[in-house]
Amino acid sequence: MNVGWQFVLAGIGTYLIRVSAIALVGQGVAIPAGVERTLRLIAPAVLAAIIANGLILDHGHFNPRASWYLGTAIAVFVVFRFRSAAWAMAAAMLSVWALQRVGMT
Amino acid sequence: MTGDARQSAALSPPARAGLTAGLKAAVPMSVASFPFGLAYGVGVTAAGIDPWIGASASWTVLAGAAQLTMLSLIESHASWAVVVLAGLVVNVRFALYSIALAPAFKDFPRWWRFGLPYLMTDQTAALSLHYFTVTPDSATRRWYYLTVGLGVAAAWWAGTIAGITIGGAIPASIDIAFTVPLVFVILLVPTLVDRPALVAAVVGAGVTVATASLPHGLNTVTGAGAGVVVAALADRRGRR
Repeated sequence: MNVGWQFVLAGIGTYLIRVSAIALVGQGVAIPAGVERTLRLIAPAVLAAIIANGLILDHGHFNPRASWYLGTAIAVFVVFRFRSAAWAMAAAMLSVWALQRVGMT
Repeated sequence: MTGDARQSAALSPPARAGLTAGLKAAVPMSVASFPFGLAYGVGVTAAGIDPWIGASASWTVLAGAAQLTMLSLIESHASWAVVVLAGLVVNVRFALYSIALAPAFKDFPRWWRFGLPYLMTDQTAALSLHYFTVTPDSATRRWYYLTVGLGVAAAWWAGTIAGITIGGAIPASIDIAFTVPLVFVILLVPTLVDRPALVAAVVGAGVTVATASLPHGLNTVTGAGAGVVVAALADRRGRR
């Protein structure tokens, strides 16, 4: 099958996943009481899983990179201390660039 | 009628509040989405497919991790069913966001309810879920989601096009790959508000690494699912 159609198919499937629970709840399907408290755990679990996959692993293999860890620590500090995503991005990217210039992996 | 008066007639004050807050949140996220899109665009040019067909995925699929997974499978000549399925598996996490967003979306008009999910990304979902906890107004909420969603998507589209056209001109000394985990770190920190959230994150990350040998990014789905379940059970136990 043509590559473009593969993307179209995956796009339709992805839209259906995105709309799934939103459509059901909109049709009157109720979310059970007690489950709502669990919903706020979804964001930290998914985000941490993606971070671990990208930061600790590299295509499924263990690949620690010291400059990335220091850059991440700096980003966490800036977000926590100054509540600014933009400054955290800038500080982390700049420090990773500088650390790699001085030979860190 | 002045321009200002006309504008406020077109957009109610709650809608404008959502638009303003959304713009403020979208800017740093767009700054991060652009290089991620750029990395995808450069990847497309290296994959040996028509660059504009490769770029079209940024409109049809609109999900970076899934697009990169599909691209690497296309590159290794996987069958179309494997390519499509792998993309969908990576995107199963959107079902979790759909569940989490559903209570707020229930109050949106039909067109918003079925249109906004197209713009669902990790950034838009995470920012909106956080914003919805402090903003009860439905119009403010949907304008916020729309603004953040369009901002992140526009940067992703622009990055993709830049990647397939001028991508080769980026100096190799800039580590574009680091922007991907970095964005998620910045999104994660504000969600860690209490012990259950922290448990969800630690278990999510730990199980993802422990199941690294699973194919097609399944380890991320497994890790995220385990994080939610374990943290929910621990939370229930702690309150009893």
